[in-house]
Amino acid sequence: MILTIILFLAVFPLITQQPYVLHVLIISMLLAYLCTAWSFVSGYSRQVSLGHSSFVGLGAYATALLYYHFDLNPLIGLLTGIALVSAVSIVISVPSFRFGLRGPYYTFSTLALAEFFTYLFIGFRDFTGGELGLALPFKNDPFYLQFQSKIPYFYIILFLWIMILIVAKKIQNSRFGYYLFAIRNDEAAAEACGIDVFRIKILASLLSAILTSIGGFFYAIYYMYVTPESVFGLALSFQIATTSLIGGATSWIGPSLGAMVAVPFLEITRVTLGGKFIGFPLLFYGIVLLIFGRYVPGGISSKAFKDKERVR
Amino acid sequence: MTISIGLNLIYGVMKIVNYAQGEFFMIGMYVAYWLFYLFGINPFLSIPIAVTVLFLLGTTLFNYICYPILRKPYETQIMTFVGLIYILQNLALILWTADYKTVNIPELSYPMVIGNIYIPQGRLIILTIAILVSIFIYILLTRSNIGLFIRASSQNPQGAEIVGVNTKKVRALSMGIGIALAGLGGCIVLPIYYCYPYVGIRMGIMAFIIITLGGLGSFYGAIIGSLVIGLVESVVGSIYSSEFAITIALLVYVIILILRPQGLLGTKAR
Repeated sequence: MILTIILFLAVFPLITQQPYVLHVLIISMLLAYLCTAWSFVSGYSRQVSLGHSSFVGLGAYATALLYYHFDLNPLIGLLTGIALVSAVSIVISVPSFRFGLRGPYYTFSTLALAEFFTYLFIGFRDFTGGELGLALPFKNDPFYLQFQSKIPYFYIILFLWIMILIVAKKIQNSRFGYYLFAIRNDEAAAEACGIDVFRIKILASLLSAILTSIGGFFYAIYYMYVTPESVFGLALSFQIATTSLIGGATSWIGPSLGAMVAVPFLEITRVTLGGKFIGFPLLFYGIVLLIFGRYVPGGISSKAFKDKERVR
Repeated sequence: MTISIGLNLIYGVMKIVNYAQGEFFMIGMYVAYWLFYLFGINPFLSIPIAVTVLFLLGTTLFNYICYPILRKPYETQIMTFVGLIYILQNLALILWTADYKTVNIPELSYPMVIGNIYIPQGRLIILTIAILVSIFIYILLTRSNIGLFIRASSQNPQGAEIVGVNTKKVRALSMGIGIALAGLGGCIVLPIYYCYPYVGIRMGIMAFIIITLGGLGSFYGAIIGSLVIGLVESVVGSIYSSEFAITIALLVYVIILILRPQGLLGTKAR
């Protein structure tokens, strides 16, 4: 089924080239990408992070700042962002996993990290533009990954999304993935079985952080405008976490399903209800979350594919 | 500080983290604002009303939303409470629009002079109420039957049930009290703070930071955590800018948490 969806998406620009439709699909895929990256650490091994926007933001700002100030190619920004995020991820996760930060404590420390970066980037006003953010100059140069039409962006994010789906699928059927699920179900038992819990968690969070920062890079080149609130803000973290949970964070396809349902839903309600009934789309979204939390805690994928059910 | 104590009470009794605590703070602010706007009631006098409203809201929410997910995994709780955040924020947005609202009571800004220190009266009253409420909650928890039940169901739910404590009721009660405390916090800071739909989330984060810093479920921890964060923030804030104050406070928090994962006064889990 997923193959048909991907094939359909691949030929989609031939059917319609309406920028708005393409835009909705692009942000759906971007969110699907980010959510899948999130689920590696938070879904598979249940180290629930509500601060993944810190990695999105670092990736986006690395790209944006290098381009804005030094006129460097975004791909260099991408590599810098990956290096930066790996460093941050290791600096944060090594001590916190070593000293056994679990459950709510881990969630809070990630939340605090994201807030920390938000204020840090607001604070260095001269360099980062403060709250107003950075608007990148448009050169219309494919070398700088800048295109007038949305179609190239569409294919870039489609490619990234397919890549991460393959990675997710591979992880799930690998030894590494089984380790993560063992940690999810019972960390002490996993450790007793001889799994190096510490190393596995570090690897998972590093992988997740790097992949997330690539999502941030795409954000920067697609929107060409970054503000601390939009890339580091809690709204993005919450969006990533809740969307994956709606879709089902333990399955390789779950987070994507969540994003493919949630983003168009929010967009459509925003367009039809927006203006007059501001606030209603997210109100409905909250109610949907409550209902899912109560009746479908495993997410859509746990209902759709029973054989993939690995939630306890 | 009252928000943190309320949050702690809820966590201590139910082992559930109420991520939406800040939103109840916001609701408390709006209730007080409404009472002031419609009937001209001073925010400090509307405390009983706000507390009652939020207490009822809290117990209702417990019965219909929190009780069913008590034994569910951690992600489910996050989903539920983030859902609640969205619902409450956007309800506030619909009901009261996104404008910043303030209550202006000139008498409260008259300074009070002690020696050569000038303190606005309003802030002094807020401080006094916060301290009184903390003492009241402390006495409630340690000296009364209800407090005994709450502590019993927090330490050993099964044991408490065996000796005849209705833990469901006790939990509903403590959730109600916890949320009412957040609302009370909102009520009393209304005269010195702006009120808008997203105020809760900032406050909520501060509250989480304070309680995890002090140790989840620990009463003194919340107080010490508030002091640490408040001190760091005001010291750095007076030297550099306010953004860096928050940055440094958060950094201090992450460092303390990494070095002492259970918080300054928390007990180690497992």
